[in-house]
Amino acid sequence: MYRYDEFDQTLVDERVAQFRDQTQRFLAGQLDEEEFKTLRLRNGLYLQRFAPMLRVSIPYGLLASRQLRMLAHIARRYDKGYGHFTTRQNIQYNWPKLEEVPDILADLASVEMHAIQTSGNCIRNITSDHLAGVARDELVDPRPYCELTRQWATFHPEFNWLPRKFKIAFSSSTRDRAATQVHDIGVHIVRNDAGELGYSIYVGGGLGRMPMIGHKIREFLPELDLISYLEAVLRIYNRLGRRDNIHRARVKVLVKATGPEQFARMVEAEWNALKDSNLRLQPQDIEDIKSRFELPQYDEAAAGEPGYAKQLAVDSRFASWARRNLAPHRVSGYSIVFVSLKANGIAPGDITAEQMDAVADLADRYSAGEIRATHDQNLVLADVADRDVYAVWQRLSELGLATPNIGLLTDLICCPGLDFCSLANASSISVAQEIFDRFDDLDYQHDIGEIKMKMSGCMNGCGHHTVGHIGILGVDKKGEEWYQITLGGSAEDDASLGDRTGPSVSRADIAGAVQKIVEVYLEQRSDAEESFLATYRRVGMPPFKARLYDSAETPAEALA
Amino acid sequence: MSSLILADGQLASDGWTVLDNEAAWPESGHVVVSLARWRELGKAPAGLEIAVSIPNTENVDEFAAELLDRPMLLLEIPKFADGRAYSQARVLRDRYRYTGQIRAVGEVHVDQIHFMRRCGFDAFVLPESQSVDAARRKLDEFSLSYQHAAVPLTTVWERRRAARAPG
Ligand code: HEM
Ligand code: SF4
Repeated sequence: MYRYDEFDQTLVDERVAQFRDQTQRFLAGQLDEEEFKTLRLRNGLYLQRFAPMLRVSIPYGLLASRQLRMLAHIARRYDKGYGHFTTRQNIQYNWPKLEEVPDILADLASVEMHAIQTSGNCIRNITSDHLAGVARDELVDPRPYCELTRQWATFHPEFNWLPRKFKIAFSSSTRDRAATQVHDIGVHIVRNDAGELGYSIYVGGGLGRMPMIGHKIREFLPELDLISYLEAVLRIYNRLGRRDNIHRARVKVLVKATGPEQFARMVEAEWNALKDSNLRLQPQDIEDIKSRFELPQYDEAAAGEPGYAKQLAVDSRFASWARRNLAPHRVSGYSIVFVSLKANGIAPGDITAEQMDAVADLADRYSAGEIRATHDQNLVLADVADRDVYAVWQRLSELGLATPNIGLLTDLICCPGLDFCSLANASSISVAQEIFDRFDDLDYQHDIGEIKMKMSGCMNGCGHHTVGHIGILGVDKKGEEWYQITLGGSAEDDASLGDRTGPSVSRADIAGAVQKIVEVYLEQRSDAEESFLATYRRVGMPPFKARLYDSAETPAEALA
Repeated sequence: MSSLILADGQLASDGWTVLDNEAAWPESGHVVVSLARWRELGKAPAGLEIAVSIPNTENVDEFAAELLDRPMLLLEIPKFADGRAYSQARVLRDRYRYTGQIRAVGEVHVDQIHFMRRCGFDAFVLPESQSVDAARRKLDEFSLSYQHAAVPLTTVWERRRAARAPG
């Protein structure tokens, strides 16, 4: 866990005062709606269908137990007793009162948290691998680099009024778990042939109306040049990004217009003028940040202790959970535990204040006092000794947080849709519920295996539908809710955008359509090991299309 | 009435007259001309003090060298949420070491002037809608910053570097 020093704390406290002043001036009529909107949007405060919505920043998804308890307190004291974890590792509250937001920010500041730049056309929360520091395939822990970047981005005087929002994600492992290629900048921490640490830089990925996969614009950037290079990219974007059309304003549109090579040349030219300035990091800057991270102390004896093998053999519910919701830890004797926020009857990503408190207690007792938020809208207890795994599972089960579905169909991503969002064309939470009901049978889901379903209520794509193995997008047809389906998207190393199946389907038919897609996959896969994505990439759209749109149910083989 | 406020919070009277592109040159005085007119002219006519007003769509690298001896440059902020002039100010200060006044004109908002100042602006023409008292409070809204900027505010990173320096 990164601990603030006095400087970090001062800045967050001064932000609270700044926002209190802005809110008071608005309530006193000294700021008009439009002015206040642009200001509050630098602080995660939206005005939505029914109430304001406040997004709280969780840098790179990492939370200390006392912070999670504070999030619970805020849910209870200022909201309706729950919060919603988002796809960018943040948390949102749907019912705060405008007048109380400054108090919420003050409470957050008391535990080294804030809502700075969680919305608006500025540099947003820096996200990363939710398995940072514990993954076996990791090169180095990316979080100190994320924290450096967070500090650079915080109140950056030059980049607070960009053409559009700007999102940066870091990955440092063989497998990209942070969807870096659909971010404005994706940073991959790598070593070059000489063994030196540095970064590959991707620019111009993004979802929304014009989904695009990022382009690698620099193969290797030396470790100390991170900030100067980011500054160069942002300056080019600030200067040249389109401002005439909000839907053409993301950096991806600029990169597309110039071409990635030309964009890279412009960045290099700007960077050449910046790289030897005081933006160049000193090795000590990085050491400093690293030293502010309190890392878990692992117990060497843990590896020698009996783990949970015995319970696996006798408790089939536990075994089925362990199969999906545990991941191997880089330290032997430890496991990574996923806390599923995808239970039947609950909007994906929602969690109550009581559950937050209880997870914080579990973290204190069993997992180094830390919790992570994932971009799939789940939580992780990353440092659980194998001897404690069974006890953790028992408690999670009591809390309704042990649905054994991580990576399966019902572990879907879904945006708030019509239930909360004023831009929505269609509801998404109720569709998620219907899919849950249809696929509640866990054995069936296990048989289907790894599948990422992602759903958005409109083309802004908050639910990442374009990179879902199965993507669902709500569209409006003469005031009715319809859904467009895409297949074959991915946000990982093999990032790709999904292909549209064809015409959209009605609200009544959407869950059935998902079922048909799954059935076609089960028929088509070469064996149980071939995943949905691999099968789709092999057989292509025709069999799926045939089943979805042909009422005569033409056998898929006939079309292949 | 708009007011002119300086980086130290003092009000100043504005001795400059904006000259339209078509208007004839006066005999003497302080005038502001557009970048286009300045570039046609190439140098200041005798007896005149000339400042240049720069649209935020211009690339500073293309003309900064021709402007370094100007006593004042005006950076235009057509819309509150349009951040291009911030980059122009920084490039003028950091890269070209421009030392004259950089004045913000247009939709200048009190909630932004702290950040403008850090980018190198040192004078702000506040539209009538903006309160001078608020502007004064806002100039020093934050006591620290992570980023280096044109204003000599020691950055957090420099403070940390100093704190770990021996002795
Ligand atoms: C309920 C209020 C919300 C509103 C009004 C809203 C609005 C938007 C808009 C307008 C965009 C499109 C931006 C663009 O393409 O440039 C967008 C994108 C996005 N939103 Fe939301 N959103 C809301 C809630 C959420 C929630 C709850 C999540 C997470 C679960 C979320 C995550 C995202 C993500 C990941 C993107 C993708 C943008 C990208 O990187 O291209 N949003 N949102
Ligand atoms: S995808 Fe559309 S409906 Fe869903 S939260 Fe985003 S803006 Fe709202």
